[in-house]
Amino acid sequence: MQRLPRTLHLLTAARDTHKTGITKFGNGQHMIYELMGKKNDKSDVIYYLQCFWRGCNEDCIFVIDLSDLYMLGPSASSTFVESVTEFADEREKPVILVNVHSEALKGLRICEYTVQKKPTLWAFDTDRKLHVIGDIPERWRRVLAGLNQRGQATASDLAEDSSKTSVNRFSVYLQELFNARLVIRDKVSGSERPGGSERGWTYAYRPAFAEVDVRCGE
Amino acid sequence: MARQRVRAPEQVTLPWVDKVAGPPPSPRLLPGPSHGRQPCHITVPIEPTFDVSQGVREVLTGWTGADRLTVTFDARHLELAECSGATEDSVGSAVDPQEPYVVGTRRGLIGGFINHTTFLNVLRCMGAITAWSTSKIGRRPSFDSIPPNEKTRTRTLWEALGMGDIIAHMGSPSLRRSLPIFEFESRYISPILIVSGRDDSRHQVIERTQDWIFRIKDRLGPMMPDLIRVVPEVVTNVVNHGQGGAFSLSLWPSQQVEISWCNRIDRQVDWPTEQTPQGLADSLLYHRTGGDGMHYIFNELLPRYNGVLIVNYMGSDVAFFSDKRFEIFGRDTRSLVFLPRSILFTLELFNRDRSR
Repeated sequence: MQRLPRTLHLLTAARDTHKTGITKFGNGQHMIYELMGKKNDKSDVIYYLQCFWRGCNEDCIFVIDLSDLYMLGPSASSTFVESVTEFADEREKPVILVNVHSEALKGLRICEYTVQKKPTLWAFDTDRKLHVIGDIPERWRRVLAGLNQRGQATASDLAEDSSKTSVNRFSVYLQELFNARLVIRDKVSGSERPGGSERGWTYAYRPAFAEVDVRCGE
Repeated sequence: MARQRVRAPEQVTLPWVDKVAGPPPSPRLLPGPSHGRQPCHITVPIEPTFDVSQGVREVLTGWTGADRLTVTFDARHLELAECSGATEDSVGSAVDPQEPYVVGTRRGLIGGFINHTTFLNVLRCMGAITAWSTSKIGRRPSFDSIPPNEKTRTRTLWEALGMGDIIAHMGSPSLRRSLPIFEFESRYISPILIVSGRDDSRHQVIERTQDWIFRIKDRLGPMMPDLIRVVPEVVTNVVNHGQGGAFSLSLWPSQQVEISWCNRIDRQVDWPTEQTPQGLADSLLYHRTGGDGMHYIFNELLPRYNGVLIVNYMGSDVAFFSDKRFEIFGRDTRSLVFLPRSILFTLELFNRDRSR
C-alpha cells in the first residue's frame, strides 16, 4: 500500500498565494482565473507543489482536492494541468484529483489541446465517479480494465498466453501506463515460468486511483 | 467708376439650429488658421455606422492649428439600426418598456439592440484623437458629448451603457488615474467598462460581471458557465493593454450574446508579426501569446454556439467562423493617420436551444 501524504486543497493554496485570482459566487462556489500568480505561470505552481510535498519522495501518490471550486478559467486550467503533469513526471508518481466539480472537469478537459505535453490524470468528481483527463488509447483502456478487475497484476497475468511475445507486449503497455502516471507498481518476486526457471523479480501494477480514499478533503 | 461696396450679410440663426444645445459651426467653415491661443472646438457627429477613422478625419481636417482642442461628440442624430446583419427578420415592437432599445420580432425570437460597436468606436476614436493631439499639439484634448435626444430609445441605451459619464471622465484634459465601475442596471446589457490607469479595479470588474451573469442565468441556460469562464480572460486581456481599453456584454432576447472589447495595441511592436489583417488572423490563430482565452474562443465557443468573431483592425474587419475559416472585409488604402490605434473584437454567440 502506498502512503498518502497530506492532501493539497487547491482553493486554500490559491488563496494563500494569489487571493485576487479567485472570484466567489453567490452560491459559495469559487472560480480560479489566475493560479498562484498574476501571470498564470506554471513554474510558480510547480514550486508550490514541491514545497508542499517536500520530503515525500518515496512510495507516495499525491492527491489534490478541488472541493469548493466551481471551475478554473481556461488559462488557469492550462497552467494547472501542465504544472501537475510536470510535477508528476519529476517525481515519477501519480497525482490524483478529487472532488472535481463537473464544470471544473470540463475546463480541465478543454485544455488538453493547448498544453504542450498531453496530460493523463485521474480525477474523481463530486459524486465520486472516476474520470480520466486526457485521451488514452484503446490498448490502455483494456489493460486498465484488466488491472481494475484483478486489483494488481503483472504482465504475465494479463497476457493472453504465456508466449514471450504476448508477455512482452503487455510489459510495454504497463510501462506506458506507468510513464503516464496512471498506475503504480511494486517489485515482487518472480513467478515460476513453465520450464522451471524462476525470475528474480518482476513488477506488479495496480491502478493509481485504487489507493485513494475519495472522501479525503471532506 | 467707384466699385460698389458689398456689405457683409448679417449673421442670422438658421431655423434648424438648436439655440440651447446647438453644436458650434463646423470647423471647416471657420476662417483660416487660428491664433495658437484661441481654442479649437470641433464637433464630431455620431452616426449609426460611426467608425474611428470618420471621427479622426473630422478632427484632423477641422483643426485650426490651435494649441487647445475640444472635441464634442454629438449623438443627437444617432439612431438605432432597424435591422441587423445577424438576423433575417426586420425588427418589430419593443419587448420591454423599461429597456426600449431591446427590440424583437413579432414572434419574439429575434431581437437585440444593434450598432453596439458604434459606442465602443466613439471611445476608440477618443484614444486615436488623444494620441494624435499629444504628438501634434503637445497636450491632450478635452472631450464632451451631446447625448441623443430625450425620450428616445437611443437615449435610454446611451444612459444604460454609461456613455455620458464615461466621456465626462475620460474627457478631462488631465489624465485620470481611476474610473468608477458603473452599476449593472439592465438585464440585457452591461455598462461599458473602461480600463483606468491602474488595474486595481480589474478583480472587481470581473466579480461584478460574473455576479451579473449569475443573476440573469435564467436567460442563459447552458451558456452560463461558458460566459463565466470567458469574462476573466477578456477583461484581463483588455486591462493588460492599458488605459483606454473597454469591455461590454449584451444578452439579447433571442439568446444571442455579444461580447465586445477593444484595447490598444500601439505599444506592441512585435504583434501581430505582420501588421496587416492577414497577419493579424495568422497571429490569432496560430501564435499563442498570453493566456488561453483566444484558444478557448476559437476551439470551444465558436463551434459550440455557431459563433463568429469579428476583429476590426487597421480599417478592415477580419471575421472568424466556427469552422476556423476567416474572411477579410473592407480592405482599403486609407491613410494610416486616420486609422485607429486600437483593435476591436466583437464575439457573437447564438444560444439556439433557448428562446426567451
